[in-house]
Amino acid sequence: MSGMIYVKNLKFILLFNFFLLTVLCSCILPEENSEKDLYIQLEKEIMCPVCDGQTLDQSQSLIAEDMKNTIKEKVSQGYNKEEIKNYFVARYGEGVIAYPKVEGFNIFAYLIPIIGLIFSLLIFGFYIRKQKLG
Amino acid sequence: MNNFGFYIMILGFVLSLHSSLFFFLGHLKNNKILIISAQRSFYLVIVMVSITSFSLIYSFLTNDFSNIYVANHSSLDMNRALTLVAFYSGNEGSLLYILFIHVILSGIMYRFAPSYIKNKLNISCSILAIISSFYLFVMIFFANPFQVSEFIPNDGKGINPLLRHPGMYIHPPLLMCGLASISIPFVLCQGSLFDRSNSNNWHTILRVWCLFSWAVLGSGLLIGAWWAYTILGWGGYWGWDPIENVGLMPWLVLTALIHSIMVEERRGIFRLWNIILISLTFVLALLGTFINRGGPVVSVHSFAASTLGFLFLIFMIVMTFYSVISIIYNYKNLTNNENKIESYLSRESSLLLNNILLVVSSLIILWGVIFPVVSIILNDTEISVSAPYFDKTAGPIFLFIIILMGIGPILSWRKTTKKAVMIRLTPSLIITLLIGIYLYLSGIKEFFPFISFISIFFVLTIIIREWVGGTRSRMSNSYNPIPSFFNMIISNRGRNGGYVVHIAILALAFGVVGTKFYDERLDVNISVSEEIEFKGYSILFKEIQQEFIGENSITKANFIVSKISNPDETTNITAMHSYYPNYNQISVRSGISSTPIEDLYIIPKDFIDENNMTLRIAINPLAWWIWLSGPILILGTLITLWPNKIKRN
Repeated sequence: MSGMIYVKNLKFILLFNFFLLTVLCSCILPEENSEKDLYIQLEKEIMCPVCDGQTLDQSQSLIAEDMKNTIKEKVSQGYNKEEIKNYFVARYGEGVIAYPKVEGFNIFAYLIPIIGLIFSLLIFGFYIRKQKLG
Repeated sequence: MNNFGFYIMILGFVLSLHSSLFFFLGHLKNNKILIISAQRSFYLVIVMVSITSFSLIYSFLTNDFSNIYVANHSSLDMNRALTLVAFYSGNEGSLLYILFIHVILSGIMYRFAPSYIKNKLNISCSILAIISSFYLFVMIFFANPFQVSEFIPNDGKGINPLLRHPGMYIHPPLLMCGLASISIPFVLCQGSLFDRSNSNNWHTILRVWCLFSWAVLGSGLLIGAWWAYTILGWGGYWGWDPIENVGLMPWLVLTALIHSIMVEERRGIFRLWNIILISLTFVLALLGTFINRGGPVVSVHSFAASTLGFLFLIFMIVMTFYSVISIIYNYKNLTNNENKIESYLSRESSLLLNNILLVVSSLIILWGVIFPVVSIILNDTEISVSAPYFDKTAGPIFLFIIILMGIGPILSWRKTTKKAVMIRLTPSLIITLLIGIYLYLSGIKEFFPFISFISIFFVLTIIIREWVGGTRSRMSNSYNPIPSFFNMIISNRGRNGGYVVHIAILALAFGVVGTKFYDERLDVNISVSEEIEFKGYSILFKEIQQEFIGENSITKANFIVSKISNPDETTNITAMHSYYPNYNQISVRSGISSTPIEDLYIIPKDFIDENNMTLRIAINPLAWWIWLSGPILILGTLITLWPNKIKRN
């Protein structure tokens, strides 16, 4: 009987984990049909290359204003998000995108937090189980 | 005066070394005379550091430009009220300021320590004195604020224009004070580690100091956000900049700590975990200082950038090593508790889960801060890790912490039955469901903001239900609900203060979700007397004014704003550029009209000529609530900290 309860609780933890994971993934995956303006989105996802860790929307430097205008132009010419990003990457390098892209080595940027979270939650579950039994 | 300050600093250094050594020896040999000698120099260090600080202030007030630091951070036309800001606006002065706060807090801690632990504080004071010695060492050999130049300029360079804002009187001092004060709980916990009498008297004072650090650091971060919102002129308040992150990380771990200390107080478990958390907070605070003083990542907070990074890195590594060793050395002492966690549905488990989520979120932020460096070393590509990354990785965890904030406090210690939980949750669930339907119908349909909003209301209704229930049960002998409510609050200050702080966090989350997901922006060219309409506002560009204050020129744009639905009620908004020729820098001050529903935020981008300018108009929904959370947070902390009547035996 008591064994049943533990299995149940473990299920609960796994479910909880699963729920957390789905939320995390839904947040990490790119949102395709967000209602916000493409221009404003891009401004927040592209770095100002000369201003020490600021995104374009945070910066008022000349180069940032220039890049914002370029984005506006490109958006009105009908370029999509990826194309505009690639345009800037080609000019300023990978560092101009404000987050590590989910590819290659950069996967670790996302993988380690997810693994860390799941791992620590499992430890939490097993720790309490052990305490209850012991 | 400069030589005087420098020599006093050296004297302080010697006294500080003496104090740390004699506290340690006195503890080892149990020798009272050594300890009394150590105490005297411990207090004398405070005097020396104060004299040093006042002599630097004196140099500022007398415009002694032979002092390089003074010449670089003040000028003749500087408002004297800004002297205090100028004092800590550079690398050397901010070190002196941190040291000053450190010794003052150390002194307060030692002087007012309750008598039952005062004679056990030797190790603690020894570590405190080592920390002071370290700062004095750095200032004497590497960052002397009293360095004199041979060439004496007629006028100084002046204070950085970005710092000329009322927020600057409070934000940097609070933040530095918060980070410096973390060493107090750390040394207290070290003292308790080496306390062989196994008395359980430590956590009361530990909790007080943790709450102090937590509240000071938290308000420092919030005021920094407010400063960024009102002066940096980009419409945001938190940029996930590395320096912001290194302030946030210890705060998150401290948040975990003030929760888990309760478990130790109540049940005697989690002792090892608490000590790990305190050490982690301390190491993260040192990491913050390291990154701030010339660490490997780029940041906009460059005020203290220097080449001293390596010194702080070494100090951090030594302290980390020391904490690990001290934990291992005392490991057996820490895990000998009989009590156990008895159920998943218990206050202990929920607090442990809260701890894990907070620590994990803090470590994720740490990972984001160092990932650019990792990528350069291991993958040889330069990448940026900024706001979008942190929003996506730490954001969901914060949401879970908020949900847990509602459920955790209604679980009982040891164990709760599912039925009891459901009885206490049902009213909130029903109200939340109704609110959810209302929100959905009013157009909030995106997944993340929707879940966030209903979670916030869920937690709020739970707190209100607890308070209503508590008030009702006290109303049996009086029919007036107001005194009953206050009696109920006072009867359990720890718990209700905690609820007030939770409400502050809810207000903060409410504002963050609103501004994050529903902000609107528009860039326009506008000429004088032109009127534009944006999101229900009508904005009339009234005039451009030009003013000169000394060499600095200020260009103001005045607007008259009204709601289209209510054109009679108008507000005046002024947005301006101030140009500082000494720094060749423009500081932008946005015009803000704030209501609890939304802020209208006008950023002057460029003044083209006397009649034309470009603007960015932004709508930041619910931003008002973020700033409201600050006072509520302080209030809650005060309720929690307010001492109970001292029991006299």
